[in-house]
Amino acid sequence: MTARHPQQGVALLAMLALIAMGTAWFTVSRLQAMTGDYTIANRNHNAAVLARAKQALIGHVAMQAAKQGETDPGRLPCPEAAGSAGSGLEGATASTCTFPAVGRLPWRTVGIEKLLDAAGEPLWYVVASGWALGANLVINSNCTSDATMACATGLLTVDGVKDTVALIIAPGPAMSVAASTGCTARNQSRSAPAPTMDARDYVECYSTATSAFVTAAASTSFNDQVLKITAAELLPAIEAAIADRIQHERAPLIKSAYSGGAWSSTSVLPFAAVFADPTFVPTALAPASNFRGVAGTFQGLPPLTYAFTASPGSASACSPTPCTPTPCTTGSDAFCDPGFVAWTGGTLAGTAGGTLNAGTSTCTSAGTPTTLTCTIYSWDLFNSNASVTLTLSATASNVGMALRQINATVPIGGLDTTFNPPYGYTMTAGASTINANGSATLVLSARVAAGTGIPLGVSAVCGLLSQLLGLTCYRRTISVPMALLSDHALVDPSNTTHNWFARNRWPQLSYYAVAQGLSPSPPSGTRCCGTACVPANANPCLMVGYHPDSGKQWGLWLLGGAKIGTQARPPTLIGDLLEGANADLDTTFTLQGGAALLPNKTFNDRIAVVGSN
Amino acid sequence: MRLRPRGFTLVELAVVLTIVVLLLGSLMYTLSAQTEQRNYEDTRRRLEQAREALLSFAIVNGRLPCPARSANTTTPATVAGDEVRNAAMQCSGDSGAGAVEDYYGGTSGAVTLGLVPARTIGITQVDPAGFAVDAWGNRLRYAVAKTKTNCVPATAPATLLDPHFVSSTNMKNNGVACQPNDLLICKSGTGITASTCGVTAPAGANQLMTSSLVVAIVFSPGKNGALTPGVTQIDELANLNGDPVFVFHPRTDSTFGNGEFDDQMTWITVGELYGRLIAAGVLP
Repeated sequence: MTARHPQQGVALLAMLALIAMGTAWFTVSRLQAMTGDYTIANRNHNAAVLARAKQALIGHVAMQAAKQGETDPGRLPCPEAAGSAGSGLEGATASTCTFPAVGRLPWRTVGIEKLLDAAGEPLWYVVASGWALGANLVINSNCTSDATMACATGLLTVDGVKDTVALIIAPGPAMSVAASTGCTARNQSRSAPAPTMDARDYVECYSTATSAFVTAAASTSFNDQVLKITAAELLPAIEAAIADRIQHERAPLIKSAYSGGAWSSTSVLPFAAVFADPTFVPTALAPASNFRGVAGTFQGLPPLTYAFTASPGSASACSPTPCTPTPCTTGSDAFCDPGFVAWTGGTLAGTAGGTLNAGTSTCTSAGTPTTLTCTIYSWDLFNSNASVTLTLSATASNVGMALRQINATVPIGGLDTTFNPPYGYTMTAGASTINANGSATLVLSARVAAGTGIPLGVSAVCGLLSQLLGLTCYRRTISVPMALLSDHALVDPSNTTHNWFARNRWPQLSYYAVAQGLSPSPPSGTRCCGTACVPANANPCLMVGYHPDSGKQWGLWLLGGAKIGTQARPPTLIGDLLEGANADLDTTFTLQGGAALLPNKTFNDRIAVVGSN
Repeated sequence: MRLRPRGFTLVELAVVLTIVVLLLGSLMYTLSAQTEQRNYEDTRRRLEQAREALLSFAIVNGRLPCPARSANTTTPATVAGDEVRNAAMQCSGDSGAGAVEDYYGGTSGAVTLGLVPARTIGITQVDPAGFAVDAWGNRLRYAVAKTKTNCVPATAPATLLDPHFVSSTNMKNNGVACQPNDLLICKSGTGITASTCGVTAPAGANQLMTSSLVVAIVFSPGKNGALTPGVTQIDELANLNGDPVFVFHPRTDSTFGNGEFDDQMTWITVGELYGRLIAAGVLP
């Protein structure tokens, strides 16, 4: 019998140790992988909520910009008001902000759910100084990083690049921020009640002094997930909204500016100004002539000059009537041009009362803005210095090269104000016209009072008949202010419904085209285009490619959009402002880039139609 | 001496069994809670998908779809999961006696209105009948804004056209200044009316989303959706009663004053809709 070896169990122990070590390794490696999965899932979640918030915010800006009465179209909402977290007002925007404004995303104002990041924190939001209420805003397509505009200086610098209008931030859990480049050490604490909520307890590594933010930093100092909204991303949405407003708010007014009411019922659109560098600086003398229409110019810059500080339709228009608007001061604004539209003359005809001698009764104009002074010679059978009811046809130059409105509430000197009190005159319905050379003839009926004539004795100026009968000739003078043609609401600088357009400098991106047939000087002599003419197509309409009613357009207002590729801003050539078929100076335009333009994203014009058949 | 064969005593067995039952019980509890959580998240995901599908539909068609209803209609001819939209572009179709309008859901006789138009927008997670469902098999609901406000009259035609959000031509004509004016989301069903979130002070305190922002609502009636909501479930009932006033708040159980509430909701804000349509070149 062999002796049994004592069992020491070493092999078993070694095996156990091996299994234990293997299990430990497997567990640890799995754990690590799981943490990785967890981090990725968190980042994906954050990316999803940030993207949703960004889309909703851009859409909200567009919708807000398109609203009638929005005087700062394109502005972003301010962050949630400090102190409203946890209250009934949670998620509502603050009415103004201090910049750079860092606060919680105003989810309720934007209309989205209260989105939370993976750590369960509501999203934070930063808005740049040039883009929310609390600063003087100028927002237009030139507000990109390389423009030298007020809006561009109001951008945020993110990762060293100054191109951002807003940031949306998933703040992540509270952390102990270690000091590192650009980051100040801070032990984040989030137990404080809402009114004392300190942005630094949520958002790391930013500088309020320089409006500088980062999307990444040392992991010991930073755990935010940041999504930026650049000016270039936001501007197309704003441009769309502005185009929509031109179409809905401005185009109908341009279309009817010179037709209906006292004007003849036939539609006519003003001439364009010759295209030139449209850059202007408000409150400084600039090439105002750039926005003066020119006879025979059918496309170019829109005619936007004005002459008075306030006109009817504006809350600050003079009152009570009759009253005369104050002329603007030349050089005070790029569009102020009080001498552009000027009286050139007038004719008088008597209709009742004493006999008016039309041959010698004449009108002359003088001053800036001009005043039309008409001298009336009349006589009557009883030498009674009788009243004279008359028709005045006054002509003013350059009306069809600008946008004006008839203001029948101005006082005309020398009239009998008991006739249509308190004015002494009425505009004759449908009788005023825009002439082929762009001048306008205004027709009004007025009366000069009995006993107001200066007796001249028997005089040749009252005509042969009065001389033969030995009757006294009487002289009267009436003076018509230029303000009888006040500024149209669209160009009136004090009109708060419409002056946002010039204040935000959208004229710098505007281009205006009119069908020759609807301009003051139609080729066929009759104002019409396309099938509305007799014979049909005597004057062609404008064509707009991809428009459902292409070939029926009277006039167009184009917005050039942000610069693309090698386009120069400010634009000195039309190709610097518009693209493709819109920039070739013919009467064919397009809503979309053609096959070559679209895929390369080399087209960003927008078109509003000003009247069509 | 012969050893007595030893077994486990009854007491020992009982102790062991008790421990096993306790362990199993806690395990089962965790499992059901996890299933519940998974269903909840799955439903959340399906609602998000439906929201995205609705927006994608809008990009392609230039408008939002009308809701579907549980019974087919003959005019217009629809099958399960189709939007019900008549020739006048209104969300209306025949349902039993005469045409029934359907923007906000509710019921008409035995027909349930306001379902997600799964077939129209291309959702594939559907029940055997063809309607989009949540993780518990309950049909997803959908409401879309009918009325509009803040529009600026267009040039030609000079009048504003209705309906706005479910017609591409009208939306293009009316412009992007138009906002919805009917769908409201309230924080509680207490005091709400058929058109407001109630007048509890301070004004607007019960309002989660104002009617000028919400163009469409997608929601799941939750796990209890298959049940007929009881009379105490005020908040859930508000979502099914066919008016444009909806209620959304975090989940509550039956001990909550307004009854159990487990509806899950998401919505499309007017900015999101216009933003997408502008980016796609559909508007303005």
